[in-house]
Amino acid sequence: MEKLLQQIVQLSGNQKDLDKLRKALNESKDKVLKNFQIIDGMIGQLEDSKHTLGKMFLLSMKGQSRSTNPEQYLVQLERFIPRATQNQVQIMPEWYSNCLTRMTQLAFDLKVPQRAVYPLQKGIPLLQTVPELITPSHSHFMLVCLYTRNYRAALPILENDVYDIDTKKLSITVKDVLLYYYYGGIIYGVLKRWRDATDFFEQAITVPGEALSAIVLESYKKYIFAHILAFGKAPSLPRYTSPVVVRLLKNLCKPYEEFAKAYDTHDMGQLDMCLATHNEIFEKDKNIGLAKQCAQSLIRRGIQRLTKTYIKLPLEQIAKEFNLKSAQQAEFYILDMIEKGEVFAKIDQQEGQVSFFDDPEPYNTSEMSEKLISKIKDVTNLTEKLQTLDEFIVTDLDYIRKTMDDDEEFEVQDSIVKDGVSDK
Amino acid sequence: MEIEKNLNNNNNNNNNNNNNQIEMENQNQIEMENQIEMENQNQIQNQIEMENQNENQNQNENQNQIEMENQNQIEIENQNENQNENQNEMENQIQNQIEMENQNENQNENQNENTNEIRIENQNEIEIEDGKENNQKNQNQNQNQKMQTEAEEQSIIDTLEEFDFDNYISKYSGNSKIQRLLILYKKSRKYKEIALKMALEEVKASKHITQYITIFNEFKLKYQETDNVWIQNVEEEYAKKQEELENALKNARLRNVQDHIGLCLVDLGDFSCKKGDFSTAYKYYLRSNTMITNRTQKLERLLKLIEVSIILKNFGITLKYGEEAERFVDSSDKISLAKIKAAIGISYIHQESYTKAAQSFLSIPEGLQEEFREIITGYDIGLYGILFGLATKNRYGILNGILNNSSFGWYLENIPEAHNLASDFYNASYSSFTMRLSQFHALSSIDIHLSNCYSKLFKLIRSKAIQQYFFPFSSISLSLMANDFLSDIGSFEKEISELIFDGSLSAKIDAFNMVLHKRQVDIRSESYEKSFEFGENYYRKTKMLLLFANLKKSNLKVKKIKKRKDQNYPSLDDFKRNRKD
Repeated sequence: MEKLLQQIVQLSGNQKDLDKLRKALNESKDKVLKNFQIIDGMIGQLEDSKHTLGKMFLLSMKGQSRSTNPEQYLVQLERFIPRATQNQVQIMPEWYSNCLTRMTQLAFDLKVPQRAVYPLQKGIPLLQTVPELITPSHSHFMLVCLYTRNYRAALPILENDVYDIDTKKLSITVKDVLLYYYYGGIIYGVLKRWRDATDFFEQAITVPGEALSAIVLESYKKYIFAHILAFGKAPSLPRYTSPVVVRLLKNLCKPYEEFAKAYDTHDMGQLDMCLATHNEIFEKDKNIGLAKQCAQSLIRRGIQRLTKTYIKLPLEQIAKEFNLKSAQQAEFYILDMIEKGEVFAKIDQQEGQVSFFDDPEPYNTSEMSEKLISKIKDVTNLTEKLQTLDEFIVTDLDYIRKTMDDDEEFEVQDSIVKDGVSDK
Repeated sequence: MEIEKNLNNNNNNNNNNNNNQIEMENQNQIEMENQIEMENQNQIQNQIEMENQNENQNQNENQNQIEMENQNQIEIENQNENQNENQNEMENQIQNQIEMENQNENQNENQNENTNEIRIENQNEIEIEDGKENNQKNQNQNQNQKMQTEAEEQSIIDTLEEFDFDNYISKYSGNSKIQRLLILYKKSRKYKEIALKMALEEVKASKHITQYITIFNEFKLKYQETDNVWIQNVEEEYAKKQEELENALKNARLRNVQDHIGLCLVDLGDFSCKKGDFSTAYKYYLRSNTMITNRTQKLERLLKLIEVSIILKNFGITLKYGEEAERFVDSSDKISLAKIKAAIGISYIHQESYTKAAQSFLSIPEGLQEEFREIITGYDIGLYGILFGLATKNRYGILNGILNNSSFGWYLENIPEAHNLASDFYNASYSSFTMRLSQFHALSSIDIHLSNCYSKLFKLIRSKAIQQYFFPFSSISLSLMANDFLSDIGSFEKEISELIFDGSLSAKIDAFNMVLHKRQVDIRSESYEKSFEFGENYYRKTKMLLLFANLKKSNLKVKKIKKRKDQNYPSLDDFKRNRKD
């Protein structure tokens, strides 16, 4: 064991040494398992950033012992995680991932989930080999943020788009992915960023599947509401959603589908009726608040629609259209919407009428062009990713074989090439 | 130690895989148990919830915490006070989550099987019964819905005072007449009885024995009323003939002359048509189609295929053979060409591509009068041509394509009202146009090919007229316009606002002064707005697709879990350990 400690200290230098160390550590697993009692001593002697590889190995091995003092272990992990150096983490991300998982677990065990927020926030970017990589810790982090109601702390991670998976370096289960998008959607929902929430739920639903996961089911329920709040209409699932999932969702979420249908009629009365009949189910699913928010948004959506077709409109008529008690109430709604920038309108109180305008944004400011440039950059980056994926597919051996079978021309060309080679 | 356990776990897993077959057998047992518990799918849902509640007693509280609703914020804050209590539950949290998922996946798995139950070979009785119940329920629901919509559509034709039933129906014969009478039976109260009576008479007269029986089945008529003596007589007559024809086919097969076999098949097809068994006729014609090499005979065959496919309402096939026949036909053979074009037009109607339908009908060469009575008459060609022309062409298109179209003008002579309708549209006399249109509206509701799409079609024609009306104005009084379109101002305002909303009218309403204004568009802002929206959508959707692709690439997916219900679910620690060390 002494030798191992020495190795860690000596080989924590350049890349070559680190590779050697990784091998040595891997081989010493059994030894470490038999000598749990002296691990703590070794951990104490190592520096967080300098000997990251060795330390994360020991800390992750320590998790397998049942006789550890949880408080002490948590403190060790808490200190180590944010201070680790990335290039050493990347050599064996699995160990670091174990540390993060252990730490989250301990924080929950000791009923102090708030202590996990900071280390996870720092640790996840270190764990990502590329900034787009999705890791198991993503879902844990979202859960911790939900528990501690620390929604804004989740944003830096949430807003960094992830779509890469690398099972060779870091194993991840489909449940981790599902939970990340489910929890993430909920956090966006709490922050009322409905469009982002919709995307997250949709992502969870469209995860490939042979069966229906409970997470997908719950995501779909919330997805319907989030989509209504974001776009003002019922959603339709993307075509690549697994057919099994679509069928089961339609069967299992009938009340929700009916609600969406009622919303699409733009009829307040129908929506209220639907809400009343399915009240119990929504309540039981804890989605009643969302349903109520949707019902409220119907009036706002309706008024927004009016701006597209009307220039001037008497307040009385608006009140009548949406079953409001009085013109004053209609005025109140419109005032509120003007304030929030949801409509562009002016109220003529003398005459009791509203004038609607188009969006006055002239699109000729420097901010707008900056926004445009940054969006273009995003899209170009994404296109590059797509290109690499495309290259991967086109050069994939199975793909070539398959397309050759389908297309005889390919074979002909292939044989021509072969003949050409043999001639030479 | 731990690793050893791990290995054992893996081994177990392998064993499980090997024992899959045994499990599959068990599956049926489990299913049966489940079936008893879950009588229908709603209950399955409850089941899931019940299970969850039992298994994870704390799940409700957990869900509270996860709730995203502001509405519940107060509730959540209340919980805040009870935090100590909640914290006790936290340790179970992740564990519950996992258990919940496994549990549910298992449940869903069962229920998956449940929906597929009919396909599973070893059905047990309970399964069948359940399936039946569900099916019946669904059927009942569908029927109720149908009844409702039918009741609404019913009797539009009854409101039309000048409707001349005898004249209308005498224009058709054979199958076309029968179909039209059956639609009247469905849609009119006034002519219900007489239509059915005439339909049955017509079927008898043409000896369509198969069709006779289908009608009784389809409309759930009383079987006592079937004319059994007649059926028997006709059947005997047909049996003899059938034998004759089949023998002829056998002989032809022996001699193995392709053309001859083809002709025999056609005879059999004709015979099936006579019986009213059109699907069999279609099969015979289809088989003969490959055997015949002669050019004129080939065209005849294709025309027969087209006819039968229209009767069978399989319009995709009509279109396919219509296009093939169009290549075969000689341009001097105007009648055949007219038949083909009419058939193509009909199939486009059912595919809802109105522009193409209009094109086909308006390009039909003159001369088709009674020759295609089983399918379409010259009167119908005029009607369809006008309606689809109005729905899809602009004012100059109507002048050139309809009013100055000499070959189509030949058909319009049969139907002067339609000609007036088109010229009203061209001359912008909107009130008489609207009046005439409403007459055609009622007529179309009982047409074979228009009865499905007439409301959409007439809405389109009306919106065309409104667009054309508003075209030269920058603003106009709504009441004036409503007057011209024979509508009251309230409903007209609604109609206009719908048109504006779906983008077919670029205008805005001043509801205070009741004036319609042309919309002032800032093209630059609009295109900026649109491109931002488009880019944003592209970015989001592509991102999601990328993750989807990557999930597929690494073969991550929600898998079916095959497990016994009473089996222990893996605890959190197992889960962690399995995730590789």
